[in-house]
Amino acid sequence: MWVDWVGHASFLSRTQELEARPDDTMAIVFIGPAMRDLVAGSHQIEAHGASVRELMSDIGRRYPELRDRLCAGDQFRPGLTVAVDNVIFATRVAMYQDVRPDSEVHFLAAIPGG
Amino acid sequence: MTQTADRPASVTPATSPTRVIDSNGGANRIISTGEYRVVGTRPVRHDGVDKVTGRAVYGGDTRLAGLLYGKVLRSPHAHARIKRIDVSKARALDGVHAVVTHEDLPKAEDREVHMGEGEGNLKHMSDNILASDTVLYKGHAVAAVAAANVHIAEVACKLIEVEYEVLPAVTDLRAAMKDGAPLVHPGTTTVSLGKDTGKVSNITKHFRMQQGDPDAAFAKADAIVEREYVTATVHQGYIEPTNATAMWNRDGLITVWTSTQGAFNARDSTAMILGVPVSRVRCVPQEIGGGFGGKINVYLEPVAAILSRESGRPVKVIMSRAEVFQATGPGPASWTKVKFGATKDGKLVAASAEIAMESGAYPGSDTGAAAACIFAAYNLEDMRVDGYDVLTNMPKTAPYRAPGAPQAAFAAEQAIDELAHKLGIDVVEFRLKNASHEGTLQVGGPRFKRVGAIEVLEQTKATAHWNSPLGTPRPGHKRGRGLAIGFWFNIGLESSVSISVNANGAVTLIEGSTDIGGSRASISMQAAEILGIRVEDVRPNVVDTDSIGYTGVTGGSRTTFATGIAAIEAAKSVITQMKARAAKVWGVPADDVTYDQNGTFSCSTDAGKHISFQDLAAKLDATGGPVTGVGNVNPQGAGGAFATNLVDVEVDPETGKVDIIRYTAVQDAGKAIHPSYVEGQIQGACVQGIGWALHEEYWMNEKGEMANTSLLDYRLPTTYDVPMIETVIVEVPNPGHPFGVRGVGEVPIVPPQAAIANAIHDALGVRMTSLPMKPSVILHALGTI
Repeated sequence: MWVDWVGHASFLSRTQELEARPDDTMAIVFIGPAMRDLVAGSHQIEAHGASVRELMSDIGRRYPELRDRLCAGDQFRPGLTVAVDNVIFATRVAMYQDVRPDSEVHFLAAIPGG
Repeated sequence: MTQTADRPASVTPATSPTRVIDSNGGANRIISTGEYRVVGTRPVRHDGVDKVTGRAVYGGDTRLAGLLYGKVLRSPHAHARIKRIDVSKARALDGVHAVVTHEDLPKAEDREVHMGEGEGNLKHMSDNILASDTVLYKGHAVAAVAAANVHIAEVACKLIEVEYEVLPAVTDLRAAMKDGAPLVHPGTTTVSLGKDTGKVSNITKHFRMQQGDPDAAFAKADAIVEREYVTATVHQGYIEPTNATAMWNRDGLITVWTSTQGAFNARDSTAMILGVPVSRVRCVPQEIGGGFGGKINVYLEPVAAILSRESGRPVKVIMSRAEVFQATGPGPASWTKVKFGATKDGKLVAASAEIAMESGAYPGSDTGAAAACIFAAYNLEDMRVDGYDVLTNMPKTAPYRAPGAPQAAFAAEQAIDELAHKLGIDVVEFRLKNASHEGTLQVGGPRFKRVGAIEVLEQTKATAHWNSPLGTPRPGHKRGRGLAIGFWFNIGLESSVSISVNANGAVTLIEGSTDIGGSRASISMQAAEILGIRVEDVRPNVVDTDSIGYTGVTGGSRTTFATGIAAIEAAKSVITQMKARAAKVWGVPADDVTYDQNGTFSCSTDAGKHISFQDLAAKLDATGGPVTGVGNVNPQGAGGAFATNLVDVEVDPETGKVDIIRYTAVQDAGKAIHPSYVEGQIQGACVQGIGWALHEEYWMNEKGEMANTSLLDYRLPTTYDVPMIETVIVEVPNPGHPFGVRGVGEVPIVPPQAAIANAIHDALGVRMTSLPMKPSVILHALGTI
């Protein structure tokens, strides 16, 4: 069972949910202002996955529009990247990063350089 | 992939307490937290003799048998439809070997492709190389000629007939944002917060970053400052003009010799634009005479290649200075509205900003990075940034050292200064009270890991400069002192290094990172530290794309960090292999062999067995053959860096002239591998920042033409404009690098503009809200004119 983390109805508490799926991972995914309408206004959601790729697959199942906004095929869209536990990853390697059960994931604008 | 968070035992510093190291008569200072045998010393750079004797081969020095010379015909209009091109007269001219237009490039798909540190649209890249149906800025390439010499090529360009339908143009950022402005791309609509609004506009994108509830938080503020700031389009100002030489062989293989920040990026971009596999392009990076972000994109490489294909000869193209200004990517103009709120005890409670930046002729500006940096120095929970990406009839903008961050800091750091004054709090103490630290929330969402904002502010407060009086100005002049802090992320990306051991114990180091600021030395030093040998016994070579693994651009302040980690990994591999050879010599298990930082292998089970790195190297042929270590990495632990600038100015209120009379730059380097080159990066960036602050701008006339296309009129700073820039290197080790390295090349250009503006305010009592702060702007601010 996947639930919104903030302010949305669910019939399982977070503890109950963890107990129901002891082997699952549930990272907290933070949603920026421009994408909150795709997740019923939530600031953050939970998603399953041991990697960013798996996490995006889970998001795609539950919120296909959000995944489409973020990804093209199996890659993040140009100009976007991911931070996992406050480490910002380059766009091309972002999908392959590990995600822990208590990881925090942010979607960010990719940082250029001169 | 390697990401080393723990410090390997082999690179444990000899000492760890903080130590103050002075050099250059005390003008430069290092607050050192780790000292090593090689790292942190100041050896002579490996390429130094070639550079100072003129032996180094730059792009323009490329000589090949049968070489032809190319020239590009460029648009005289800022915006026009190309109705007809007739190249017949040019082709008929004696000495002309080829004439090409966009028709000679493959049709490019309208899709995003990976480029260097980011992405680009392939059709836009192709159209920017040679315009297809519309020219979008003065200087946009339209056709190119290869001839026996450059003079014939220039004459041939004049024989090319181009019929234009001139269109309305807009080169000013704020004018381009208005409804009814001439449209750079008529079909472009604004995508706002992820949704296509359907509104036709030059504003291609509006995004928002937000944390907390800034509107509610502002209500708690006792003091608020809100102002608007603008900055002009500026160029990186590299001295060596953009250049490329190419040979398209009859077997389909293409070789490109060019001055570039990234040979692999140049190879990939050239291949994509030419529609050939990357394996058919070899890029040979030449020495580079400055880049600062401006030599990441390709401009001439594909043109030289198709001229070579058509002529069957190698072709070299070099831009004039006017072409460099008009046809390569400058740093963008910006408009920023920023607002800070604080309680009367000096606690920042909220911040918001709107930032617009020009992208030039095609979408994609620095706004995202500017937004991510604008509040980075401060510990805030409630903040919001809205960003706008804006098309103009200007050259497509390109990265320029910490892209977007200096423009953002120019606004934020003046507003912070003003708020401190409003609250009656010392400007350093106000910044220290609110400074970012480990765990501070960033506006983009992540929290900072270990950063050095507090440390650089503390060291700024401790400088002799901060604790000295301003001194007495010349009669009729006024003096002021200004402070600003800046942040830049820095990046990792791919790097590859191989190290081969020679029989005399010296090693050859092969790398793909083009050397802009002494990185041959900084990479070699990290290898030497691990190998336990002298850095003089490491010979570094920057090679072509067929000779080393993929290596990203020398940009994003990544080279000493990422390529350094590749060198460390390669060196560790060498040591592992050498231990096996020692074991073979002694007839013991390899696990019994140890190695120390003094370059000696020992047997842990026989105290009498020792052999030096050099003596063991002489036995490699007899014990199994060559030893080569390879490091292939894509590290993600680049540490963000903070820097402050402290500036004293003396202003002549009658003429508006600003003189910089004292300048101190304090920066967190993580670990300064070669302090001289860190100091060089800091000082160079401050000089560029002084030019950006006081003199530099694209002066556009009513026709949309840049009017100051020479270095006589585009006023770069000279030695007359710049005092000795004193540096303080603060070392707050980055846990993502074995020696603690953070990037150093970009953050030093972030604070200068704001620091100088704050100094001018201190001197004159007026806020400077636009760049450059040239004499006329000063006089206007004073109400004199």
